[in-house]
Amino acid sequence: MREILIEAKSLKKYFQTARGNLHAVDDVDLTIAKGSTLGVVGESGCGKSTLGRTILNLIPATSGEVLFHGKNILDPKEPERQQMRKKMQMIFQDPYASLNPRMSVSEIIADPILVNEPKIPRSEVNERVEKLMATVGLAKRMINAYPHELDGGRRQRIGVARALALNPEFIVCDEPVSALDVSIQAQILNLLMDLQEEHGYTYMFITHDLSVVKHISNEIAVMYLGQCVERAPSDELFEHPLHPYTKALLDAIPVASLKNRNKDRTIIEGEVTSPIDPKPGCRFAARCPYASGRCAGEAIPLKEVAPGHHVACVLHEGTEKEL
Amino acid sequence: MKEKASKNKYKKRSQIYSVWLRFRRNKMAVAGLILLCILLILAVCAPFIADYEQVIKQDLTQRFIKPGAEHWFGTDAYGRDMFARVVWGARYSLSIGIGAILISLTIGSVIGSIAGFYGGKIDSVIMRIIDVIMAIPGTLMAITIVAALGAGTTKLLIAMSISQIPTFSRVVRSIIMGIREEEYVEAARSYGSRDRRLIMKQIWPNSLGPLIVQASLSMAQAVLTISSLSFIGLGIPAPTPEWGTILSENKTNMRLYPYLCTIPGIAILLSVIAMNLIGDGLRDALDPKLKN
Repeated sequence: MREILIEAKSLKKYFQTARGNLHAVDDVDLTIAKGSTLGVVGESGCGKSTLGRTILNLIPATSGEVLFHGKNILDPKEPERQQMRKKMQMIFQDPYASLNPRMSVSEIIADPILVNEPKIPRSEVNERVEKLMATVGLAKRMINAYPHELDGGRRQRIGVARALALNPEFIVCDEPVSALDVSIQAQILNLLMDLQEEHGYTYMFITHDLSVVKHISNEIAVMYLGQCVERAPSDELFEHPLHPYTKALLDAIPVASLKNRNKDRTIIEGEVTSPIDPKPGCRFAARCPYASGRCAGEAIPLKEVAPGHHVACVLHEGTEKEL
Repeated sequence: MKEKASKNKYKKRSQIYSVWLRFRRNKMAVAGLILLCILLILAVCAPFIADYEQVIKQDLTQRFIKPGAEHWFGTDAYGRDMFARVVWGARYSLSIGIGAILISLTIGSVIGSIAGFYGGKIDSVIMRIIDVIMAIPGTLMAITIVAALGAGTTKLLIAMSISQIPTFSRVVRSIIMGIREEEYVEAARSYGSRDRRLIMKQIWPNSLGPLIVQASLSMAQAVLTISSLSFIGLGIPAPTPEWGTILSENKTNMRLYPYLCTIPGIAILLSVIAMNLIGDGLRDALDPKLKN
């Protein structure tokens, strides 16, 4: 087992709304080993992005801890918090919205350096910007271009370069390819994987696209309504999904094969239950074909059912393995 | 050598230059700009065109001379050369107009930025105060302030500035509230930018476009208001040649000598049109997403 770089402990983020507390992230535990990638999947509104932002302390957590190198970065009393925070960066979803239209490529990439190390000489900043552009595969002639002059893939490369500017160890990628064309998605994914191989970055990769997550992740966490319902190594999850929700998700991946065109798919009925003040128990129960009386009433914790494979479902408690 | 060449090759085209390229294509806006430039040059060069003595010195033997070779715009009831008065009038009308806008723009931007960026209670308190000021119409507000302070150039400037501050704070606040939620602002925050830097580097440059447009349109409004105030005797007192003052002085003789009121009227009209045309042109030119 590799060294654990980042660990979230019972992390919670509730938003106060007029109708009650919205449980965006509810009691999530996760660990990411150094140099590996945790994929976080789930449908829209399940709290994936909020989880990423809470881990980076971009939005204050309601409760819980985020340990980075064993130090709680959510604790304002932690003396190394600022230093630690620099080692954690983020790549944003929409490369059209996440780049300031009034700043040139070099200004955008240089800004994190200027903010955090204001004393270094201009020539060194320029040198680092050029190096970063080369790293992410941006031609030198674009150094003074403005974002609107570039296509989506190049824009996202700027976003990646900006995230790398402070030599981070941990990067939260919030759906970095979902706004891009499929051909460009592959370029950016390969870039991220190459960078990881070369520099040993640790990623938390948030996405709703299962084919993307399989490609890039070592481990996958499936989220439903703010909770992590299943967590397993990537191959294990795709081969032996245990939670009914994960099964339904995997079943929904389109397969380009004529043989499968009449295949029956498990379609999840109903709608996502409200995330505002949810009742204790399994939040998927209302839509689950296997739901029983045991699903309601009390919280269902994540349990390790196989090495590294955790699931929160009454069907897999103890020795029961009939499914 | 090689190093130098490569630097020049990717020379940055400044944003101001590309704004100019787009502005240039709007013929009406360019016409407005040329017009305003002529007026400004006249205003700046007024002392070289006519002595101030000539502007206020009365000579009753020279009354009501029609526009012609000697007096381009004729003379008024006191025998003063109208051309000299109108040119000197540009100095007053335009400088107070521009000055008032610059002052209210600066103060309004700071107030609006604070309210828009921080939101919440700070925003509520500031905006309720602004609402109270806004409840009084701008011109009435200016009249009240002038009435309290007395007439005079500086006092008019103060009155005009104060009456424009609420408009600018509102505009800036709404622009900033929109930009504050942009993902690039969150991105800048995510790598540790502090509030001041966020406002200066990320938010202000993006709010500048609508703000400049608002400023150029308000400037036209300000020139009008200054002239109106002077016309009703609350602005710059006679014999100082402000356009509104000139109009007011000559209104009794308008029937017999219509040029006395037409010429300063046209001067006001031209400057207002010029500023409006420039404002409209800038609105289009300042959008960085439009192609060159």
